[in-house]
Amino acid sequence: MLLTGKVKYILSTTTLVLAQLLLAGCDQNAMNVDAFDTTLVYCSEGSPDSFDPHTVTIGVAFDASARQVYNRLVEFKRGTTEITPSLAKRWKIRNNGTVYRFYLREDVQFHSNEFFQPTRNFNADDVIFSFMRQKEKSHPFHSVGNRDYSYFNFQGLNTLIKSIKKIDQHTIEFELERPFSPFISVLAMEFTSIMSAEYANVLEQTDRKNYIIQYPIGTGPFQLVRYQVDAFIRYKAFEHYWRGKEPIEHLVFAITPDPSLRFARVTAGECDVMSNPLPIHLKALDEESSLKIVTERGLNIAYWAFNTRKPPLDNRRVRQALNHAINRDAILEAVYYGSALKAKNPIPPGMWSYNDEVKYYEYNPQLARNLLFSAGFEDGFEIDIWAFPEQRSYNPNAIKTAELIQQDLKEVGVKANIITYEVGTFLQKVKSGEHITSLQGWIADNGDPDNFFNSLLSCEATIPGQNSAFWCNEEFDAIIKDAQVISNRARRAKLYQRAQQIFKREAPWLTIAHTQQNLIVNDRVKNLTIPLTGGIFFSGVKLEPRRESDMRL
Amino acid sequence: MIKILLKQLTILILSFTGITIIFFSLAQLVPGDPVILHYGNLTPGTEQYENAYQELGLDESLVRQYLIFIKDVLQGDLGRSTVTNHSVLEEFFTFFPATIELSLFAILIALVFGVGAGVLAAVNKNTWIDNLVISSSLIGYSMPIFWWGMLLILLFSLNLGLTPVAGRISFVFDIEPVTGFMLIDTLLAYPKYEFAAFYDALLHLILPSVVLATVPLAVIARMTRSAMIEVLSADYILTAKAKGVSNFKIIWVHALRNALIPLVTVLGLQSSVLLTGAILTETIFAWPGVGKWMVEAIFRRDYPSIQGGVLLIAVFVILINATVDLLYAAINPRMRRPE
Amino acid sequence: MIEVKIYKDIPIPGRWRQFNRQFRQHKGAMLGLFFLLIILIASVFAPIIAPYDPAEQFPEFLRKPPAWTDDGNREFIFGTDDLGRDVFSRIIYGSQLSLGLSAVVVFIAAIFGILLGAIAGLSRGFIEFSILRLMDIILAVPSLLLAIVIIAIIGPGLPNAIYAVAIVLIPHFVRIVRASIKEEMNKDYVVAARLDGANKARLFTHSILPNILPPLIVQVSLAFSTAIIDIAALGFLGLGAQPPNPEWGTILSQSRDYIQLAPWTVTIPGVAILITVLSINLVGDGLRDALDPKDGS
Repeated sequence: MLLTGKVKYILSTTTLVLAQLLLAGCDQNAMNVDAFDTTLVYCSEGSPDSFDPHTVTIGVAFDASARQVYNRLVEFKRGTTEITPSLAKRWKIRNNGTVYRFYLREDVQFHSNEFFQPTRNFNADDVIFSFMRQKEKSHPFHSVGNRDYSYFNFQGLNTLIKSIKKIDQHTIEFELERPFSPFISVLAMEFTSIMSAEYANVLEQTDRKNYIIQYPIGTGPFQLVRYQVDAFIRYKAFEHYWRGKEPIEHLVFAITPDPSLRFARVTAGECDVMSNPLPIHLKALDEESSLKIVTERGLNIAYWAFNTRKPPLDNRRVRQALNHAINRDAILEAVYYGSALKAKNPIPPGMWSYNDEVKYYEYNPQLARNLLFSAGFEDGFEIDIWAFPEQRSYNPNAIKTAELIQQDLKEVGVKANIITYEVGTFLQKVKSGEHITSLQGWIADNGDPDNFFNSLLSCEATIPGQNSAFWCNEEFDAIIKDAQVISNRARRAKLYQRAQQIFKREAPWLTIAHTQQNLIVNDRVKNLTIPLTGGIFFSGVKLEPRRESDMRL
Repeated sequence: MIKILLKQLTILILSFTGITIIFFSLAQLVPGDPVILHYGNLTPGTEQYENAYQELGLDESLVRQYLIFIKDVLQGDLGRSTVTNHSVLEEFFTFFPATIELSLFAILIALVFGVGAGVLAAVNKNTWIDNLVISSSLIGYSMPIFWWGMLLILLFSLNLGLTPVAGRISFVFDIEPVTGFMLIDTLLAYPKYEFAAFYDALLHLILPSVVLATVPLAVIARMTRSAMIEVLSADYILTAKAKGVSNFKIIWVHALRNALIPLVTVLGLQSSVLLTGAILTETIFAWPGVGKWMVEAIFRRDYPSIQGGVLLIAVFVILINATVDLLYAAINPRMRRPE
Repeated sequence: MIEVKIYKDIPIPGRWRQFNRQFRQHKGAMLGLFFLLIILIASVFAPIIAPYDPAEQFPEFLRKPPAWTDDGNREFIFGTDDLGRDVFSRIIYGSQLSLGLSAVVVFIAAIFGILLGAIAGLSRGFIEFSILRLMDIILAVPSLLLAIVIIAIIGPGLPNAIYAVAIVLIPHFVRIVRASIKEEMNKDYVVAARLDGANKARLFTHSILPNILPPLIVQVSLAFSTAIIDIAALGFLGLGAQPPNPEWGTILSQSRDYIQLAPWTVTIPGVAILITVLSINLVGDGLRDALDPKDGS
């Protein structure tokens, strides 16, 4: 180790010399570099696969496109799931909730880039383009990017929307096939982002249709400057944003998939905001630190899904037994570090219709053994636990969770093997029902409970496979289908509360936790909040000048 | 010389054919629909799917398919990433300069410190200096660099706060990628940030290149040491000594020049070692080079990127080796003599 | 009694004794051997030596620092990890994986390498040429990248990682065996055997193999250390052994998240890898010097 000591010495001296050179450089230049104070660096978790909010499905891609570059007709009011106007000034609902008429803003401009200079403001044509592109297979931009319109179809808009009519330049009317009460909430979702029809036109003429997903043109607060896969995304504030130019002049997403590296970067001052910190990182921050934690309850659920089509989990008693066998408090402590809420329902407590009367399955290995015995499994059995390989906001470490479950199952005579695949394969295999049990999770897309019940637990959802328990209960299904067409919220809530009781009795999942959403934020960043529905918006965020101590870049 | 050149050229062509054949066969082994493998999620039955099917020549013989593949490769068409939909060739060359910059810097460190330590050890043979060099080069040679990198980050970046944690440059600087080499691009951007960006890029290079240099440094130190010891006992050195040439001149001019000849070969072999190291180093330091890009591509099952990337890297290593062989022939007088 | 010595009576030591003496003189090699033996014993007797099961969790002792620190606990010499598992026990059991897997890898690589090398060395023309080119190609792709690509094709997991690393190691064996054969073929004893009518296979196993054993042994030691590092690297990248396997690289990648809070869970497995590889390299150096004294320093 001696020479390494010597090498270290030489290195540290060189580093010191260089650091001094740099600091000297900074001192002289700090004044010249305005960018220092007006740049916000956000350490994000991954590369977006495209900037097309209509086709992407992962959170980082929505963060990179829809949430900074685009606007939608309506949006969620910050910190709530209430709907407020955005590109639409106001709207009217007629004909028993089958016709929605939107009055659009007239003062909204689109971005420009080296291929496109807008000649007109936002109008009804852009809305029609953005929806028809997703709905019509024959639309010239439908096949651009070669992807499915997963969200559009998943929310049922492909069959729900009958027609979209342009009443005049700034009025537009949606006609629906049937009443669908969550519709307006759905229109606040990222996949309904409004693109420029004029830009599409220009690209089509110059035979560069693909650019629409690579070089996005939106109406949003920031416009894309440069993107290097796996490295960074750079934006600048849009000069003519209809709500006024943002205080953040330069916005950079530093793509850092590894959470420990992300944390190291934010502690070293290389990032101002860190996405998705691990619970342990929250613990590591002390009072004096210039780093603060921004927290918001999350509309999410982490659960252990039992494939109810496969024995022995087709047996309700076995599922209940597994529910009793697992010490969830230990999981909450070891995996979530006490920062999450123990879950008993499929929806989180912040959401309307949450049924607080439902009882937890208590941790009771003896009872679990009895139940297994009465189900005819006195000798136990063997199952696989599928664990997602990556960190997710609802489960910071699925593998660790699986290890804890594995230990608990041993107690009741069930032998468990932990199985994991790389992300794409994992999702594919779960969708097609190859698993017997799997650690899953869900984050609300919009504030509507339908987004949990129908997406995750309906019979319909066993076909695309989002229902990873492959659980189809007629009684439950009838209730949630009813709740979809009723527009009275109190009556809907009653129905959903009943549904939660059935869910608990049948136990297709072990509900594990509802997590909070956290960001670690340098305190020079002001006014950054986390939306209930997840993701991150930099609109409205203010920046204080960089402190001297952060000058070491 | 021409003979050597021709020989190298044949080897090059043969190796290239071999690599493409191997890759083509490997592609047959990958489970799943080959169309989806190469073009991403297309639904069978659609027009796009059928077009892709035709383009790959899937309804024709394997030999035909291979020829189609070769034709595309020679035309520089390595397909498009199934994830980002960018051309694989273009994407490779946006990442490649970062790897080259890092590797060159690492080689520089390895050479300067490795040769220095080797000479020092040889001159002071069997003293404590020699022992120190031998033992530390052994440690360096045995170092799991992914762990070494983490230790250095912990020490220099997190505890001492001297070096940046990761990346090529602070994100405050908006540097337009002209050449892809950060040190050059920051200078080209002058006077936007004066020299601050350049210094910053340099500072970002230190830790990763030290980590990457560790193993080659150890190898070079050992090589130099034994080559030097051999050369120092050669007759012409003894003659020079007897003639009264200064010790310094003997060691650093006469002896080192000849001791360094075998080093050229070692450097050639190290190019592969270096790229292996680059995969780990880039992963640890979030360095946006080809190594990290390949690992990400594998995690994302982006088959065209994996295939294209490995093909290009292999061709690069083969080219380096061929160049080194030629270089060796050029500088080694023994190789020039006619047989 | 008078004894007249006509010839000088210095016994020429046997091959083994000569080797033994040379090796023992090599201090580093002896040190390496010592450590290697300790690690070997630890892995063979892991169930006796390790105080706990590697998977056993102590929820009340999460992230306990090593025993020698102020907050340490004597029950856990190297401290505990993030799930309250004993780091010492995991390292001990991990040595089984590291040594065992590497041994399997080297065995596979050596068998195939010697076989291919022998074929290449004993034949001429097309076969020899294509084997050599194939090996060149394998060498042209950075070893870890090749292993990763192989895993990408056949899927992650321990067995696949073993094949991948083994394939990467084959070319070195092929080169050495072939080169040695070419050299030995022209020596008198082989020519004699050939004149006796020995066929190629017999020639190889009886005459050549014993004589090319020294470089092979050295290559085995080299391959062994490479295998340990590569398996750990794959585990670190999440492509090799999967958790909760206590493979050292896998432990490292898992504890990376806690580097600031529980640095010992990062340093200790790394030191284990370093010491193991270092010991093997020391022994390898000693072997090389002892087996081939003219090449030594």
